[in-house]
Amino acid sequence: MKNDHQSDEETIIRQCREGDRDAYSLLVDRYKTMVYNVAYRMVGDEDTAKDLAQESFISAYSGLARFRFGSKFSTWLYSIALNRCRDHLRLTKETVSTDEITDIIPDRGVSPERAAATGQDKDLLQRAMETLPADYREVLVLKHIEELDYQEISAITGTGIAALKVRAHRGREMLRKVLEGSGVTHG
Amino acid sequence: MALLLCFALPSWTIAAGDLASDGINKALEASPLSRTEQAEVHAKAVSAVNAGVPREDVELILSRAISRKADAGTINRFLDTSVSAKKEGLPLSPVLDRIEQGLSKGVPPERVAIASERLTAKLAEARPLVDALIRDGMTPKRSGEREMAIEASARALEKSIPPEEIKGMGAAVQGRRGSLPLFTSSVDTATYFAGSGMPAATASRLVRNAVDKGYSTRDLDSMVKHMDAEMKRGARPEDAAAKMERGNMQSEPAMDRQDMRRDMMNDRSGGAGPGMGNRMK
Amino acid sequence: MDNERDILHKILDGDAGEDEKTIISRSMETDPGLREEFTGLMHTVRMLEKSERREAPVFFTAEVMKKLPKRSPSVLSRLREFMFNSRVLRWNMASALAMAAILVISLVSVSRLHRAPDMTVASAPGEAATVRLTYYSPQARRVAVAGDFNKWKTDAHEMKGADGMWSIDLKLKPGVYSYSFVVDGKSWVPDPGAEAYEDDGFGSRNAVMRVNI
Repeated sequence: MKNDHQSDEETIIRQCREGDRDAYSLLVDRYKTMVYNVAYRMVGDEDTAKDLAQESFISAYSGLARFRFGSKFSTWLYSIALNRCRDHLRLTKETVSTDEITDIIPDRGVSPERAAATGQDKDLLQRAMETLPADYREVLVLKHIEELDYQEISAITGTGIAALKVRAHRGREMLRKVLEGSGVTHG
Repeated sequence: MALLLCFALPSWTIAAGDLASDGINKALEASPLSRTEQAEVHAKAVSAVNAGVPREDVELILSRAISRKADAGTINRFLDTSVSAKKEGLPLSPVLDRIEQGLSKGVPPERVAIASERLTAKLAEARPLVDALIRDGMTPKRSGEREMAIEASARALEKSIPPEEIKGMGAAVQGRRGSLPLFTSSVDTATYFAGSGMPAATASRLVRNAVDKGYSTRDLDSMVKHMDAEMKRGARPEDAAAKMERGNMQSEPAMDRQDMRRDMMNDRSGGAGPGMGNRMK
Repeated sequence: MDNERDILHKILDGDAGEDEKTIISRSMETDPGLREEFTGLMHTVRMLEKSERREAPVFFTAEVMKKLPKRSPSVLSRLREFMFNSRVLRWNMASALAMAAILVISLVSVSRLHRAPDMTVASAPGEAATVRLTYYSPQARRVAVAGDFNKWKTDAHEMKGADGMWSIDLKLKPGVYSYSFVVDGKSWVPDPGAEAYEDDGFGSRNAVMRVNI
């Protein structure tokens, strides 16, 4: 199945290169949810996520001539999307000071289980994610939400696997602490 | 000799019916119906087949109804509805489908009977509406398109979408020189929204606006998915509608793509899928 | 303690060996702090794994297509004209739509949630196409598809299951079909990955699929 997928992606990419713009919509349709969700998890705002996701596809299209067959289109797309998100975050300086972290969780008495039961889980998770440094957030999104392996995450982010694992470890611990509302770690 | 034939004839007919309707017999024999009831149902079943209702469907409906413990009266209602739909020249497949579906899903047989009778009535109401559109130029290009349009309109009427609104959607599709399948998709989309809790007028307005903007069948499907996702997140239908309208106002669909397709395919316009009426079989 | 914490993370990464897991379970028996930490981390990861995927906004694709540059990303743009012509000759809309149908396929990544139906298509118009339906349910013991194409029989199209992933390939002529999954012979579940839905006339929903030429 994976081979079929890749080979028909290759076909589409070739078609686009040959002038069939419309064929690209098939790739967009296939990956739009993936790219949009990664962007949303990184920047935390739907409209911004949509813009960044769309820009990623447009950017990928322009670069199709350079795409090397044999590699996965999704890997490339993820990396374009994450670069855009990083640029955006840097520009808007979306870093939260550790003092603000305690304000983000509105009711520290609410346990994660109870929050889950009342459906507040998702927003809670997202808000908690946003307190993490961007590079920790990235790895957690790719590893546990997108469920990629470290090999692929390394290809996407251009970072070595060992470093990625350190970020994942630290990211998980930080996220856990934020979610449990029990104190805050610095750095 | 003639007298003998007179007496013989009816039993020949029944015998001939028996040979052809072994499945019907089997189903009835296994049922808890009384002999009289069995005979009555049997006769109705045979005449249904003779009237043109496919034997396979008659047998299936009988056996399912019996396994769902339907009483004879209800079974007869199934057969009667099928026959009247057939005799009135209404699309038969949706009626059979509804009966078979309801019984398979374990819906109480009486409810299934009510639902299929209701559908038949709505099909009758929907037919002139669709035929008017066809007369006005929305010609079916493939077999089954007319029937699908009638079925879609009937379902819309079931969801209390008024005929005027359905006509309004027809007008919107005509305004885009759209096809019958596009009309069917539009009506289906409005029906889905109305079924999700949106007021009928809002649902059809949303769809009319989408059609006015040139949305294809695929775009309409997209709206259904979007609505679905919103509802899953707990949004109320009105809010989802409002959000979609804002989305509508902000963006145009890929018109270029549609125009290109229209040029390349000279016997179609509008919808991406040909949507052949395969619900009719 | 640090070493144990490292192993916890290895477990969460799916990298831990059996002996490492044994070490940890033994330690957790006597160390409630470690147990708490493990549980907390597991819960955190579960939250991430179960987090809901939002649908891309409506018309996302249409908007992207509108904004694409006019020039194709062609390496050999001089051949573009020729390519365009040969495209018209080589394909008709039928095969172009076939390509479109192929790619109503779901995402490549292994899904823990349900994904859209896979549709591959025969080349001749009017011929039956093969449609793949998938459904993820680790708890189900059997799953079947019932729809208007098989008169809603719950035993005619059984899906094959492996590791909670159920699938079936259906051969269907072009058209629009209503269908639903039937889990363990009694629960009717409209395909969560379907393109569209409809009311079934009995207060429930069916999934709807379009099979194109």
